[in-house]
Amino acid sequence: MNHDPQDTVSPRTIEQVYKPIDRRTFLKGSAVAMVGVAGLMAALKPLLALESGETTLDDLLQKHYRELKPEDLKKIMAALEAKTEKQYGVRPTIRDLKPIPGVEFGYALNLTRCIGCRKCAHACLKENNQSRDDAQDIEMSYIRVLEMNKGAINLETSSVYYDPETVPQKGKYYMPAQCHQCRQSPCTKVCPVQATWQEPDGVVVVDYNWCIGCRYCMAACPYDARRFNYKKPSLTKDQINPNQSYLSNRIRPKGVVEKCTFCLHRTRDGKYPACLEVCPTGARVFGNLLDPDSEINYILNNKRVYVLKEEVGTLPRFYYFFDK
Amino acid sequence: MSTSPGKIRMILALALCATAGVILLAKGAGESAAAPAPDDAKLPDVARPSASQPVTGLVGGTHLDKTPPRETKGLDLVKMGWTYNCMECHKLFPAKWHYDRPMNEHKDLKLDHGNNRFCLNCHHPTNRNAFVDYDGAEIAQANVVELCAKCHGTTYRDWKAGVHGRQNGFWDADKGEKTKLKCIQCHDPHSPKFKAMAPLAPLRYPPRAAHPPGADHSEPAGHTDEP
Amino acid sequence: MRDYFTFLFRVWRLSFQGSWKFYAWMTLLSVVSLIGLNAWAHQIVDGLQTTGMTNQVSWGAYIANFTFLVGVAAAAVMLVIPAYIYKKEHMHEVVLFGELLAIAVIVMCLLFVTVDLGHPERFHHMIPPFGVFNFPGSILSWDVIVLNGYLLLNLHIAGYLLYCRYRHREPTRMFYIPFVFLSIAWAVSIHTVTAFLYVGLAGRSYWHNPLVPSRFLASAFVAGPALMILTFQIVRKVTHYFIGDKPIFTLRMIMTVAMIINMFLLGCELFTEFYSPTQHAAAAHYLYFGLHGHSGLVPWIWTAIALNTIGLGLLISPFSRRIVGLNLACGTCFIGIWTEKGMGLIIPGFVPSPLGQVVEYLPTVNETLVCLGIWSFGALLFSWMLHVAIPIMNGSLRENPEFATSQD
Repeated sequence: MNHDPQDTVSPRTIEQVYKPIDRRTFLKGSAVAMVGVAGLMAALKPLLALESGETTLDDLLQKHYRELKPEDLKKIMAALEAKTEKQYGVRPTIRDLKPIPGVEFGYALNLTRCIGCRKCAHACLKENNQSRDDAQDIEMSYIRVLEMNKGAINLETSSVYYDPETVPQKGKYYMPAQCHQCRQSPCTKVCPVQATWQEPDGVVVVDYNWCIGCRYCMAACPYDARRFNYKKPSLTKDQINPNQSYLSNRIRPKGVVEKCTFCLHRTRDGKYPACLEVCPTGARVFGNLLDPDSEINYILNNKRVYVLKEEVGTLPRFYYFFDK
Repeated sequence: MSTSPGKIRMILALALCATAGVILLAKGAGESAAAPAPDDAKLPDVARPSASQPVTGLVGGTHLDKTPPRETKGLDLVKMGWTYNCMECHKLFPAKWHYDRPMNEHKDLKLDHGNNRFCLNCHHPTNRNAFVDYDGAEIAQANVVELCAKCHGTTYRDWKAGVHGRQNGFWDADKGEKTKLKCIQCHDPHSPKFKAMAPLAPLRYPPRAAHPPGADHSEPAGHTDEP
Repeated sequence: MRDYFTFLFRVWRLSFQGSWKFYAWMTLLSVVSLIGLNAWAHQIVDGLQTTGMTNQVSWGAYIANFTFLVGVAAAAVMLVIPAYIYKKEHMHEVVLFGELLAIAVIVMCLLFVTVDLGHPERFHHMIPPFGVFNFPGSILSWDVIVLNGYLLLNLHIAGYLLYCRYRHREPTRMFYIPFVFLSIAWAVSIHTVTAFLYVGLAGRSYWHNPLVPSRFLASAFVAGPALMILTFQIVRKVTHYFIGDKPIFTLRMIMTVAMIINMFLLGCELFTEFYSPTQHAAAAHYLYFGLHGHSGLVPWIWTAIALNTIGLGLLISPFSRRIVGLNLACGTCFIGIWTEKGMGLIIPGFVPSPLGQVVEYLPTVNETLVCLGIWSFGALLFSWMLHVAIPIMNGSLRENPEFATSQD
C-alpha cells in the first residue's frame, strides 16, 4: 500500500513552482493549512482529558535517581507525597532508604511446606499499594503461585488459576515465584535508560520517574517477575499503605514497570518482607547472605537447595528448597 | 473538564459572599443571632499540615495478617489469667496407661499423631499440668517445644535456627525483636498434620487478552492490520 | 545558502501541485494518519490498557510492525549493492527510490517504537546529556543508534543526490560514495541488531536461537524488494519516470533467492523444534498447533506459510516473468512475511509466559487504528517524497528552469 498513485506533474504545474506565490494561491494554501490544523487539533482532543499536574516540567527535568543530590530527592519526595495526597487523599511518608552496608539479601522458599494458599500474593498487593478491587487486578501482585503436578518441574504444565475448596490438593505441590533478584540480571542489562539496576544489597529496583515504559525488561525476565502499569492504580483511602519508599512501594504512575523489591521499605529497616510475615506455614526464609549465622545461610548450608532455571545463568538470590 | 471546576468555584464564591452578607445583616439586625453553622460540604478544602490530619490508610502493618494458623484455646486462657489447672479434675482420676472405657471428657480429641496412641505418651502421668520427658521428668506447659523435640529432633533444630515455622518482626537483631511461633500454634498436637485451608482469590485470565478460555475460538477476531 | 532555501521553497510549492487524484490520495492518507493520532492520544490518556497487551504478552502489534519494517528498510540495500558494488547501470535509475523508501520506513519504525512506550515524553532519557544511555549493555540502545544512523545516512545520500540533480551538476564522489558503502554495512546492521534484541534474551527460548537473525535478513530481503517492485510499477504507470524491466527482474531474482533461503531456514527451525519435542518447543507448539486449548495464532501462521509457499512457487516458476504474476508473487510474499514476522515471531516469544501461563494476544481496535495511522503516515511520507523527487529525477525541476527537460 506504500505506493503513490499521483498524477503527472505536468510542465505547466512545474512552472508554477518557479513563480512567487500569488494572492489566490496564498489564500488557497491558508485554507488548506486551516483545515489541516483543525484536523490535527481534533485528533489530539483526547489529550485535554489528561489530569493537570500528571506530568509537570519538574518531572521532565528530573534526573536519574542515582544522579540526584540528596536535597533534590527530598524535594521530589515531598512533591510525590503532595501528589499522592491530592490524588488519593492520604499523605504517605515517602522515604529513601539506603542499602545497609554488609548486607546482601537472600530469600529461600520451602517447597515441602508451601500449601499454595496465596496469602503472600495478597499481602504483597496490600503492602505495595497495588489496586486490588477488581478480580483482574490480582495479577499485579509480584508473586505468582504455581500449582505443579507432583513429579514435574515443567512450569508449562503448572496452573495459576487453581481455586479448589481447600489447599493443598492431592498430587500437587505449590511454587510461588517472584523476582529472583538475580546476580546476573537480564532485566537491568537490557534497560536502555538504566531505569532499573541492582543495589549493593542485591535488590533490583526501578526508578519509576525514569522508566520510559518500553517493557524490554519484561521480555528479558525469565521469571515473569515484572509488571507494567497498563492503567493508573485505583486505590481507596483506606487501602493505602502510608509507609512508602521512593524505590519500592510508592504508588506508581501508569506507564512504568514495577517489581518485587523484597519490600525494601521494610527490609532495609530490619523487618521481614510482607510475604514472609503472613506465610502460615513458615515456608519463607529471608536474611542476610553475608551473615554466616543468618537463617538464609542455614538453608543454603543444610538443605537441598536449587534455583529456578539455572540454565539461563541468572544466578538468583532466590532459592527453593525441600525439607524432606 | 477545565470549565466545570471553574464554574463550581464561581458558584462557591457567590455562595460564600451571600453567606457573609447574611451574617453581616444578621449581626446588624440583632446582636444575639449566632452565625449559622457553615455548610461543610460547600466549603473549599483547606490544606492542613499532615501531622494534624486524622490517620488514614493502613496503619502500622495491620494489613498483614500475622495471626498464628491455629487457635490455641488453652494457651489463650492461660494468658487471660485462667488457672487452667488440669489437676482439678485429674486428681480424682489416677493415671492409667490404657483406657479400657470410652472417655467422658475430651471427646473432641481424635488422636492422630503417629505412633502415639495414648495420652500419657505426652502428658505427665501424675502432673497433668505438665508434659513428660523421656526420663519421666516434667516439661512445663510453656516449654511445649521441648516435648515435641523429643521425637522431632531435626525439625526442632530447624525451628531453633529459625527456618521451620514462621517468624515475625525483625530479621536484623540490631533493629528489633523477632517472634517465633511455637509448634502448637500451627500444629494441633493431637492431630499434627498441617490443616488444609481455603486459598485466597486466584489470578484470572487477563480480560484484555484475546480468547479467554471458554470463549469462541473459531474466528481470529476483526484484526485488519495487513499492509 | 540562498539557493538552498529557494530549493526548499520550490519543493514545498511542488508538494501542493498535483491533480485531484493526488489530492484525494494524500487527503485519504492524512485522514487515516489523523485517526491514528487520535487513537494514540486516547492511549496516552488511558494508558496502554487500550491495547491488547498484558503482563504476560508485553509486546504486541507495535513491536511486531516495527520488527517487520526494520527489515523492509534494510532491504533498500538490495538496490544499493547491485548499483554500487556490481556497477549495474540499470539499478542506478531506481536506487534513489530504495533510499527514499528506507527513510519513510525508518520513520515508521521510530513511530512504532514511540507509540509502544508507556512514557514517550521521557524519550530524552536516552539522549546522553539529559539522560543515561545504557550503551553498550542494552541492545535497544544499539538499535536506537543504528536506526537513527541509518535514517541520517539515507537522508544525506538521497538529499545530496537530489540536490545535485536539481543544481544540474555531477555529485562529488567524496560526498556520497563513502556513505553509500557505509549504508550497505549499516543496513545489515539495523536488521541484525534488531534481531539481537530478541535473540539476546536467554529467558525466551523461542527467540534464543541463532537462526533468528539469518531468517530476519532472508525474509527482509523478500519483503523489501517485493514492496519496491510494486512501487516501481506504480511509478511507471502514473509518473513521467522511466523504469525499465531490468531493475524489476534483478529484484525478482534477489527475492527468489532470499525466499528460498527463508523457507529453508524455516524448515531447519521446524525440524529442530519438533523432532525432539523439548520443553523449549512449547512456544512453537503454541504457534503451529495451539497449546492447552489456546490456538489464536494457528490460523495466522498457516496463512503466512501458505502465502510464502505460493509466493515462492510463483517466483521460481516462469509465471512471474510476466508482470501480473510477479505482482501476485510480491503481494503474497509481502503479506506472508508480514504475518510471519508480526504474529509469528514476536507474539509466540511471550506464549507461554516464562512461568508457563498461556495468555493470548490480539490487537484491540484502538491499537489497530494506531498501527493503521502509522502505516498511512509512512505511505504519506513516501508518496510526498516521490512526488517531489520524481520531477527532480526526470529533469523537469531544475534550479535554472532553462535546463529543465520537458517530459511530454
